[in-house]
Amino acid sequence: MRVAWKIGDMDTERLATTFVELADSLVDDYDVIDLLHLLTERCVELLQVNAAGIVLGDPRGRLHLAASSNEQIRLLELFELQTDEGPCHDCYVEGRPISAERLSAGSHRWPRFAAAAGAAGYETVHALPLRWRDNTIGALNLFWAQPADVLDDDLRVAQALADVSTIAILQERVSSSRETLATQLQSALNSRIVIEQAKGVLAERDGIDMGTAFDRLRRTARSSNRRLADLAADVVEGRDDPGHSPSSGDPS
Amino acid sequence: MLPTGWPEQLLTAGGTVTARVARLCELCVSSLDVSGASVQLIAAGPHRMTVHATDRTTDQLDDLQVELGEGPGVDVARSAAPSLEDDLNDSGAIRWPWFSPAAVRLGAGAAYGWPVQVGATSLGVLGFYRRRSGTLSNADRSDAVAVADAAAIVLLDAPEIGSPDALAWVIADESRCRAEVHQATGMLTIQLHVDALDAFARLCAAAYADGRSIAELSHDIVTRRIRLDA
Repeated sequence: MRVAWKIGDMDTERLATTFVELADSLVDDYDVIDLLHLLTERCVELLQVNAAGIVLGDPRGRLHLAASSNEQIRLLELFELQTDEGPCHDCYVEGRPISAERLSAGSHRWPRFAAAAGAAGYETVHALPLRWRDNTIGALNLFWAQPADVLDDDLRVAQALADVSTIAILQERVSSSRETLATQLQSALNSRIVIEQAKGVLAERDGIDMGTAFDRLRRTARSSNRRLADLAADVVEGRDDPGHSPSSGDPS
Repeated sequence: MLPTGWPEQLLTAGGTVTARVARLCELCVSSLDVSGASVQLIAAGPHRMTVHATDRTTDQLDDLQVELGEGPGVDVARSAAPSLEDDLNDSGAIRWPWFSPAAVRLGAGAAYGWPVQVGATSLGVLGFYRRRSGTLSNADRSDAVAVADAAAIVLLDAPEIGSPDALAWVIADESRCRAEVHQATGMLTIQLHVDALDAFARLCAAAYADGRSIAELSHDIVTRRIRLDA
C-alpha cells in the first residue's frame, strides 16, 4: 500500500500552533536538546511519519544523534549506522535532501543501512539538511513504515521544521560564545583592578611611583613565569613581595 | 517610548563600543520619561566601571551607590533582577535608608536599574534616574528591558568574538577603569593594615564624609597630598 500525504491532509491549525510553540521557546532560555526532541515529535504528528530524528555534525564532521522521536533500539541503531553510510550521511556531506525508497528491496548505495532499515520495518527514508548559509550542520531524518509518495509541499514543511532546528542550534552556539566573551570581559576588568591595587601596595610600601611599581610587578611576573594578574592578587593579599627579593635586581 | 527602528540604527551604526553605549544612553533620556541614564560594567565585589553616564548627577548617583552599598544598581548586581523605585522620598526611604535621602539631595525623585545580562552572566547595570518622582509607564519599562539587551550586544560586539582585541577598550581606558581609585585602595591596605575590600570601604566612607567623589579623594591619596592614617 502506498500512502500519499499532502499539505491538504495536514492539520494546518496544528502546524500553525507548532510554529508558534517553537518560536516561543526560541525567545526564552531554552534547552536546545529539549527543543529538538519537541521538533522530532511534531514531525511525527504533522507529517505522518513513523519516526524522526535529528543528527548533528561535530567539528570533525562525525554525525551524532541529537534527538529522536522514540528511543526504539533498532531506530537508534539506524542513526548510529549513518555515521558511515546512509541518507543522513550523504545529506550532511552533500548539503541537499536525499530520499530512499523500497529499502526492503535492498540498495546499492547503502547496503548495510538498507538491510538494517528493512529489518527494522522502515520502507522509506528522507533526510533534509540543517543548513546555515553555505554550511550544513546536520540533518533531519524521517522514516516511514510504508512506501510513501512524499510531495513537494510536505517536504517544504519538513524543511521549515529543519530550519527552525538550525536556528535553535545556532542561537545556542552563539549565545554560549557570547557568554564566554562576557566572562572574559569581566575577568579583564577584574585583572585591571587588582593590578592597579598591587601598584598602590608597592608604591606605598616602598615609596616608589606607580610607573616603577608597575615595572617591578611586570619584571617579577616575567621572571617567575606567572600571569601579571595572579601575581598582583598575591601582592594585594600579602602573599608575595616583589622587590624585596635580592634577585629582582630592582635599583630602588 | 523609543522611536521605531532604533535597534537597527544602533546596532548597524559604527563607532567604538563606548560611543555606541553613549548613544544608547542618550536615546533613553530623549525618548523615555527619565532624566539621566548610565551603563556600568559589574566587576568583582563592589567594583563598577562606568561605560557611559549622560550627566553629572547620574555619575554622582552611581558613585553614591558604591559608597553606601545601597540603591537600584547594587540590588541589580546582587539579584540580577530589575530594581525600580518610583519615589525616593517615600517608599525609597525605607528601602534604601542611606541612599534615598542622599539621592534626593542630588535632585533625584525616582531611580531604576535593569540587569545587562548575557546568558547567566550579569555583565552590567542599566541605570536611570528621574528628577520627578512617579510611576514609570509600562511602555518605558519594556523599552528599558530592550535597551538593556541592546547594551549587552553592543558591549560584546567585536569584529571577532573571543579575540583579545574585543576587550582592549576595557583594559586600555585609564579614566574609565578608575585606575587611581584602585591604586589608592592598594596604598590604603598598607597605610591602614587592612585588606583591599576594607581599604576600599574606608576610601568610600572618607569620600562620603568629606562630601567629595571617590575619584577626587583617590587622586589626592595617589599624589600623596592626603593620608588616611594621619
